[in-house]
Amino acid sequence: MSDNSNGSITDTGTGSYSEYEVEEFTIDAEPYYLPIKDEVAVFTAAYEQKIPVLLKGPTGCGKTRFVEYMAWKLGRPMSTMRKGGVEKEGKPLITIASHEDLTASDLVGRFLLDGEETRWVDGPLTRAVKAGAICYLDEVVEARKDTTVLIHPLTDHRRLLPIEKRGQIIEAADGFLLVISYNPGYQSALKDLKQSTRQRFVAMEFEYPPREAEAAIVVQESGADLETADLLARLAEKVRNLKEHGLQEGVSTRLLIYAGKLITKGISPRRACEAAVAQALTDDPIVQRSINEIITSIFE
Amino acid sequence: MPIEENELGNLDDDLKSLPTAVTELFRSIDREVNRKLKDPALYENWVRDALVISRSSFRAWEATAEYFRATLNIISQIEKPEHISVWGDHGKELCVISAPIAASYFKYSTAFLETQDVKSLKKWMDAGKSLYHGTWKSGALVAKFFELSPSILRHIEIEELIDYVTLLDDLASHSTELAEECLLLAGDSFEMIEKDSMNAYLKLIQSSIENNWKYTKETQRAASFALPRVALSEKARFLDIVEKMAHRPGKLYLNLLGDGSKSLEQVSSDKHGEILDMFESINEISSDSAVEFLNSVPEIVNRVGVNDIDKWYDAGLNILKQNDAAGIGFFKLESARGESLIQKISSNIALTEIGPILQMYARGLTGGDMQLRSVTELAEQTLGWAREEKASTDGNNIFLPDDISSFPTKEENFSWYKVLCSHQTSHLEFQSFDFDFQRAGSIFPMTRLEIEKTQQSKSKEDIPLVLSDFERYFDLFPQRKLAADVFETLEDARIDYLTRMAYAGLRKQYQLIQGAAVFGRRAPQSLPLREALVELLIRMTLLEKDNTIPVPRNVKSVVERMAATLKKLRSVEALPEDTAEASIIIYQLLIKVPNTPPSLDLDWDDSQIDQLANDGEAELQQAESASVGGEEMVPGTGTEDDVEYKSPEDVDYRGDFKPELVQTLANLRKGEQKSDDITKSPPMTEEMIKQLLEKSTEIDLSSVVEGNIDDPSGLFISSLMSESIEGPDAEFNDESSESGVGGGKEEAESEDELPEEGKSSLYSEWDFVALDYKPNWCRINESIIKEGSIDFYQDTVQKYAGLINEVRRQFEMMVPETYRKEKKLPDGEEFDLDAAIEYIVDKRSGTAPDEKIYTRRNKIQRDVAVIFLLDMSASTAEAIDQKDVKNLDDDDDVPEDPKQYLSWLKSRREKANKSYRRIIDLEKESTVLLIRALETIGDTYGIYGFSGYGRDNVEFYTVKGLEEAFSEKIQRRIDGINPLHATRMGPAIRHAADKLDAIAAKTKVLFLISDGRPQDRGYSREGAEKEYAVQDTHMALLETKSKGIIPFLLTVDRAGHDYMKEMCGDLPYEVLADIDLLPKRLPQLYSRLTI
Repeated sequence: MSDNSNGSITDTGTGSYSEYEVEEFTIDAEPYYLPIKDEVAVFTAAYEQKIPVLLKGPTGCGKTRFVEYMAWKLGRPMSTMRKGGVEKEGKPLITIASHEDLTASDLVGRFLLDGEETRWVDGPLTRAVKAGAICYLDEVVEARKDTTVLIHPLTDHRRLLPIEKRGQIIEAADGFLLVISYNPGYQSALKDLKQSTRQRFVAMEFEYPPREAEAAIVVQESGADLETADLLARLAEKVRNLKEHGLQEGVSTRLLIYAGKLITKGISPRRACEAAVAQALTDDPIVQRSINEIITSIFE
Repeated sequence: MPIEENELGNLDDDLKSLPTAVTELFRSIDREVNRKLKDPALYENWVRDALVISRSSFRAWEATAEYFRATLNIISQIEKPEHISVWGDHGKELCVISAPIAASYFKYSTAFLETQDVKSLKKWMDAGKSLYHGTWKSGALVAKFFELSPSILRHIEIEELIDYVTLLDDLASHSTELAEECLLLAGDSFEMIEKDSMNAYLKLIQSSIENNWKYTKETQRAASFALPRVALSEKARFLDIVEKMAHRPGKLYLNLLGDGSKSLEQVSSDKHGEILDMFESINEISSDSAVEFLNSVPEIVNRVGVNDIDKWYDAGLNILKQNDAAGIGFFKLESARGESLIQKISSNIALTEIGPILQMYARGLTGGDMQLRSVTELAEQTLGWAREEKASTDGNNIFLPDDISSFPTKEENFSWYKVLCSHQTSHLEFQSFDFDFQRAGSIFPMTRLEIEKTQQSKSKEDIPLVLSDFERYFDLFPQRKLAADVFETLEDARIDYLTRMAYAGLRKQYQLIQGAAVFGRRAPQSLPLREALVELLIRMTLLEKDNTIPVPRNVKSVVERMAATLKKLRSVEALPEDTAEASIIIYQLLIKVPNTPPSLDLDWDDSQIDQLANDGEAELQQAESASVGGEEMVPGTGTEDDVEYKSPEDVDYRGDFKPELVQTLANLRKGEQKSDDITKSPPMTEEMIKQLLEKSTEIDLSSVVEGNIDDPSGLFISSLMSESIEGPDAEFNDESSESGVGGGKEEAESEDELPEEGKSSLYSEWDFVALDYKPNWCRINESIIKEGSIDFYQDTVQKYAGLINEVRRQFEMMVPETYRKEKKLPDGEEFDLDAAIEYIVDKRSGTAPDEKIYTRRNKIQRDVAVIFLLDMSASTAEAIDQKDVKNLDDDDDVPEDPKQYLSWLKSRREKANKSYRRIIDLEKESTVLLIRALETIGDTYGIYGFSGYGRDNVEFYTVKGLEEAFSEKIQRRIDGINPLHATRMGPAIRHAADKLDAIAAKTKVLFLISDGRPQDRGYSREGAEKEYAVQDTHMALLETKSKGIIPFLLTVDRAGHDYMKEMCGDLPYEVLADIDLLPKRLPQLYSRLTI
């Protein structure tokens, strides 16, 4: 995936980890993404027109990976960013996971007590706006509505972010793009995207890839051979038939990749699928058993 | 030699004193007797005896008559003539006691002597005599004895008979009639008893007489039926056990005798000893349990296998040792623990156990809304569809056998189920039923259209309208049955192949099962030739390519070409259309082969299948290039010996495959419009269906007749049509039919048996004495309450206007403000100024400052779901104010004055007519208030009522469902709440709790409003009637609590404190002393619970 040598590397003695400033996290190497339809073209056009994008689809079907891919792709040719004298390539991508307690200050920024003074610290949204990064709000419906409406001015053609506490307004840098995602399947009446919000975005629908494509993805991401990947994709097809018949959601491509990875490490296919699919999807013993029966039919 | 004159003269006079009939009798035999007896002394003796007899008593002439009637026969039976006097003496002895019994003696002595000798006469006579006690009744008994004993003696010895008579005598002391009845049955009974068991049998009867004399006849009879059922070596023991049990008063031993022996009959004899061992162990602790044990044995054998009975018995015995009631429940098969144990032990798998799993499995594989159903369920509904235990599918449903027990372990039995199911899903997945007449396959070239055209031009008739593509296809074949057999075999082979290719996990199993399927099949050598070839075809589809099959030399090329065709069909590209073409090829081959009976002249060579296929390929290629002449479908000429072609044996695991019927059904269901001229769907006339049924070989209507014999197809048509119109039926589920393993659109279409919009679910009940659940004990029938008038709601609102407003204000205060500011947080949006100042101050002064200096606005949401459960029992019809009712009966103040009296009467009548307020009315009003309040606050709520009668029929009524919006309809329903029957609280609580469980909410409440203790028919236990109900309700409440639901009981029963404490335990409850406070109190309680 991303192989960033620009962050600081700290050695804690047990291993090393990399630390980045949030707007310095760029995707520098091409992430693997297999386009299913015309999503790349549509997203690129939206970006160039500075239109915010809404990605819909079930979990683990490639939305985040797609955004990373686009971040990489749009970063070439270079839109360089200087920080501390280092020329960087690639487009910064700032991801914010939304949740119920996400407040405006979490997004925009807040005052902190520093010594005996107060100091303003920018939130991730502000930093994205200033840096001209792609700001990706994942699972946006989880956030409270009063938080979500914050982003409305950013979706205007003016692309403004008001910071009321400081009495400032920031106009977004050129490369800024707001991307939000959510999973329509989890909606309840309370947690829905308001029309006034959703109609500010161009929406792209993602689905699980068709079998051959999914098999190719699994091969690439897990290192499993094509035959195994094909069987995994077949398994996925069958298990997805159970949506609404005992499963809330079908099995995600991500879980298939996990299964593939386990298999490449020598775990038997049946066991790998049991762990990555049956056990992961549900706790209901009957549903688990049924999925296991499908697994044992497909895999030896 | 005639006697002397004098003597004769005297005798004559004496004889004359007898009735004429008797004298005539005498005369008629006199000479003969004289002649036969030879010795005149004997003769004289004989005559004198007659006289003595005739003089003995009032009715002696009867005896005399019989004496005369019997004489000649007796003489012919006795060895020595002297014995006649022996015979006569016995008779005389009896005569002294009673003439009728003597008469009887004489009458039946002939029969007696047929099997017994004269020496036994005395014993016989004595036995009869012993029964006489001077009464007329006993006399009748004796007479009966003499009458019946000759036939009885065919089965028993005289000694045993004498013993029996002793018993009868005992019995007669209680009731002579009963003794007589027993005697009547004795012959038949003894017939069934073997020699060795006779003693024990008699002992049993004796015990019965001593302890339970009333049941003697039953005992006698039951025992005689019981004994043949018991193994020979165990008969005496069995009787012994029964006999001991007979010492107890009551009918338990009879139960043992009857049902117990029937149980033994169903188990193989060599197990009887073991079972009786177990019985006796249990008997030491509890006879009742032992009897139940034995009664349950057949079912246990069925489910667990005869070798594992001891596991069940061991567990049961342990439970019994600890707890009597639990033990008996266990052996009665009414215990939840027992049930789960049985399932564990048994290798048998029932469809009910694994149905949900397989159903989901099937849905996963096919992507449709498959329903899994039992074959027997189907056989009842749609006549003639399912044959016995064969799996099949009709496109929407998969039918599987009720249970599988062919294998020794559960895993293997499940495996078999899975294969059966997978084969059916494969038919659907690989589109067996999507056959399109006009579409070409991918392997074989299309010839059907040509053939059809040729046939049409020959027949010059119009092609009849058909209902499905399969019908059109099979119409091509003059010999439809052969074509169907070939097609089905090839299609199953295609499916087998594709399944093995697609499902690596099933491959090994399939191979094993296919190989095993060949065993036990009839050898081809024993079949007529054409049938033999079909059998070979089937074997080729089951065996691997390097196996060999016996091939008749004279038709080897046919087999080769069949093998080659089959090999070609086995490809991942194959479609059902390819099967169709392959079938045509093979049909054309077979039709030229006569069905000659098996003969020893035929030579059979073992040939390898693959080799045959290779050899056949070349020949096939030649054939393909030849043109379609049309003669290929016509049978070849046979010989005179040829027999009619019969279909081959089924292949078990493949189930029943009925392509024609399924496609027809599917078309009926879809109402599909087919655009070509030939396969037309609407309107589907009965005529067309009838035509199909008569043509089709997939159903044998003649064997399916039920009801009107004249028109079997009529019955099938109607059920076929109703099947197609009804569409998919309700869910396959083991317990509650409500919860959502696959709900969806099926819910709307209900089955015929259930009431309109009704659903029923089963719930277990807690037995506090046995400390175990009775599984699936109660049935809840849910329905929507009928609407009444809207007036009630509106009147109530008006009546309580003031209170409603008050309550509303109360509740509005309960609704939290959406955001509440929380201070002193470690993290938040803004500074808490006070805390921040303190922070600075602390820092400056050197103390460690508190980091909690932020504030945050937290969203408080109220997320409550509540169900109100109203007790709708009959007791709620009682008046609230007893005073009103009492006055009506008060007669104290009847006025004397006539005028006053009239007016008193009038006012009394008025009072009686005025309807008084009932408890239920108050409950209803309170409900209305509550609704108003709840609508204000926005909580999710449901209102239900319950009543019922008996565990079979607990009624559960929806007034307002949890998810329903409040509307006028609901207002009307409230009026429909009325007092009904009993109060079985347990299942009602469980059902309501299940409903709450199914939805998501932070706080869940189950609020039960009742007017009395739980009670219902059968909701009790001997010795603990009231407590049982209370305990079950208590358990239901605990279950509710463990689901995270707060239960609350509110009762208006003033005597509530008696049982509420025990029923609710730690859970909150309230006894409302003054029922008038209900409307006010209810919202108060509610707000308190949900804050």
